[in-house]
Amino acid sequence: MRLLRAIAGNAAGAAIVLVVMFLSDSSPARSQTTDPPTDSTCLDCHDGLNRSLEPGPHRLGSEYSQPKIVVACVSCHAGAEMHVDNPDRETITTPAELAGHEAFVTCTQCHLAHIGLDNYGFDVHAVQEMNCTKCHRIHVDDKPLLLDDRAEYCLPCHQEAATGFARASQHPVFQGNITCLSCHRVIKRADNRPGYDLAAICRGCHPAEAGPFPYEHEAVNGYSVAEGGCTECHNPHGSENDHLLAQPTVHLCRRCHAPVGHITAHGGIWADYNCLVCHTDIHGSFVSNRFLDPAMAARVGGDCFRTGCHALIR
Amino acid sequence: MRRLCALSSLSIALFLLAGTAVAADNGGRVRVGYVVLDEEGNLAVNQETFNTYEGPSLSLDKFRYLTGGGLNLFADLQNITLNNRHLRAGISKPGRFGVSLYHNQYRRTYSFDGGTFTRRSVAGGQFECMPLKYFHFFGGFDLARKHGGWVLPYEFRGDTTVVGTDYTQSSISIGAQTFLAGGTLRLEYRTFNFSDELYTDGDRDARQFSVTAFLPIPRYHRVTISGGYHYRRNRHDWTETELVTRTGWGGVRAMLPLGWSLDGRFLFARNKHSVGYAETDNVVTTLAAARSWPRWGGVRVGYENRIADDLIDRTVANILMAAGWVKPDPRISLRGRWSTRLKEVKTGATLLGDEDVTRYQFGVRFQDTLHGDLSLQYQGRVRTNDDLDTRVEYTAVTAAVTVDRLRYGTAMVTYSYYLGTFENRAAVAPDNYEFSDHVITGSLRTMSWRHIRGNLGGTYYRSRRDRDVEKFGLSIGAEYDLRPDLTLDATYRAVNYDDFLVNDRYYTGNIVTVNITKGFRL
Repeated sequence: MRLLRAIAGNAAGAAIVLVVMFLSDSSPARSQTTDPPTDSTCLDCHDGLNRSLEPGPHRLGSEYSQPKIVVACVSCHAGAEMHVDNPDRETITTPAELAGHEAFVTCTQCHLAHIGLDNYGFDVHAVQEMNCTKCHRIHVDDKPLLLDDRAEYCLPCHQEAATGFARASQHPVFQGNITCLSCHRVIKRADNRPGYDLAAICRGCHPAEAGPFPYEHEAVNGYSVAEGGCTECHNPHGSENDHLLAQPTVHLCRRCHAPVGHITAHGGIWADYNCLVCHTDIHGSFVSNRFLDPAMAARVGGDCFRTGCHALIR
Repeated sequence: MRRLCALSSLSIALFLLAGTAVAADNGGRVRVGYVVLDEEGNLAVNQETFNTYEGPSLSLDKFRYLTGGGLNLFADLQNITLNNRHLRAGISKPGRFGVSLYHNQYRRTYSFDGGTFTRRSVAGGQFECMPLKYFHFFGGFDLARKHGGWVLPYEFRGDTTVVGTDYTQSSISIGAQTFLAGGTLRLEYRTFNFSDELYTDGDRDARQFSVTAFLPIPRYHRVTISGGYHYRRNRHDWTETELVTRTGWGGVRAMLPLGWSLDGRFLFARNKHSVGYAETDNVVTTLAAARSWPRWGGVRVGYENRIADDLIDRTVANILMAAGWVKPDPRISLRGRWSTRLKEVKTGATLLGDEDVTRYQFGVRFQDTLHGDLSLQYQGRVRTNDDLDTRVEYTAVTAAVTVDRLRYGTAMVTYSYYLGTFENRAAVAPDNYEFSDHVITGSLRTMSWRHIRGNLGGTYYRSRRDRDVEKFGLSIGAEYDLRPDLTLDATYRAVNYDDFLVNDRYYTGNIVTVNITKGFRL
């Protein structure tokens, strides 16, 4: 890595090296020093730092075969030889303080990075030089390598989402019941999305609403040509309206529906009612293609939809 | 309850293993406390307190036990004695095996007096084992249950029809993954079963199988190819109907010299519903090119085409995307992204019709490792449906300041402004809706002074225009170290909600929490 940095200013040299890397085996570039300091040398001064590595796969001395490596301090921290002679902060690298590209080079010595694999879509994390350590904590101490109970990894950058959770209606992220990663697949986005619909994510917790139903509300089903999904109506982070709705329900429904009869019939008595008073099964129904409440006859005092004026509407 | 007992038993078992401990910092923290809750008003309108219970609490925080052989046991058991418990525990050995269990539950209240609520509980477990160096098995189960009653959102009418709910969804998965020559092959089989205790008409199940593979091209490792196949069959018991989805995808990424990279992806999904013989194909093609200048900038542009065809209706969407970042100084970064999607109905007539969606986001951030951060973000999205004659515009501006002085503590203030405009121009009675929100959050945490640490936090939220809502939360707390391993803490939290358009939508809550935490080592 230091070799690469040294020739970074020489365009011709860099081009040669890149061509060689491109055509040759992609085994990680490693420090070529002959005698790097041992872990015990590092721990002489950094006493106890090894304990923060013990719960995870970076436990010092761990051996891995693919690629062949024994985890040591110098696996991630470059410049140790100089640091031993001059124990200044500037003489050794810390991946968490490196620019994204430099940290990426360090981590990909052993790891196949997400950005090189299955994020074939257009993921902003892949282009904006995110440092691996933004999400993965290596010296984990009492925290797992990546577990975002309080959204502490995501929200410092996604502030709009953070304040969204302060709204009147919100998903329980701050309460610790779910995390950002419960819904957002930062990695492996191409996986586990049957039917290419957003409902595949939501149905994990909301199976009753996700269907499939014999009579489906087109806006709910991402696999239909309407290309909708749950977020057609709901703001998942937070909303000033109940049930995370983007608008109060009457307004929301009128975005797509202009039911003339509801406003004129019965002297306009239904005009001010919320649509869901009757269309209770709005996500989908097993019996009604208008998503009407199966028990509505009893509720409104007449069997309007079975034997009455609206009998043609199931 | 049995799950609770199982996890509690596991935590006790961890204590019994104390005799084989080798690491000096094995241990955790036991927290005993009491929650006092005083509420007034409509319990249905303030979600921050939905899941707060009064009573004695017992927790085991971040217990860890590491043996000399590398066996790692952990447990994090929050609020064991209360109904908002959140439990995790497990045992693992890196590179060999891992088993973890979890359980958490929460409720949502829907009625003024809190008598109508739903409770959701989630429990599950995961395992993985690596019998060979290049091979591992994994699997798990999840159990989600929701029961209780909820009220339909009859806003402005005051209607309170309670709808019962009581369902369970279970899921079991098993799979294997192998690593070869820098690539990987993953197979997974998963089942779902949804059982509704109140409306058995809704019972259904699903089976799914997926295979995913990544592989660098031999001798040209800068080029990676990828692909997968996914099959899912949903079956509804009562109507004996099925929805079958088959998805195949593939992609290639080439890391070229001089910081260039190229991406391509193709996805085909066919969804076939046995009712009405509906069949929808989704085809997605994505191409992107990127150039990066390490340490100071990068840019990426892309194009995506999506086709949805259900034999009757056919829509085509064309998407342009761009993103970039620049770092003129190591402490200053500017980032931005923009995308626009134009969806057209080529044949047939869909509910939403032609749609044009544009999203954008710009941000600047100043980071100083010694003093703190300053950031500003601007983002928005605009969606227009010409056929419906509707337009939705949503804009958000967020500013955040973090002051981090290690000697004294950390302070953070965030302000966000949202403006949402919904124009439903085609309705019989033109029906527009607007809201503007102001959200201010702040926190202050002091460093230890004479064994005392303080913290102060608050959120103020104001929604105006077609809504008139005000809410705030305030939190004041202090911790006192009685001994190095014994801490007493107390927190007072006040929550208030007022909807000035509806009389009964108001709420005030006062919550006091007192804990004593004992750290222990084994």
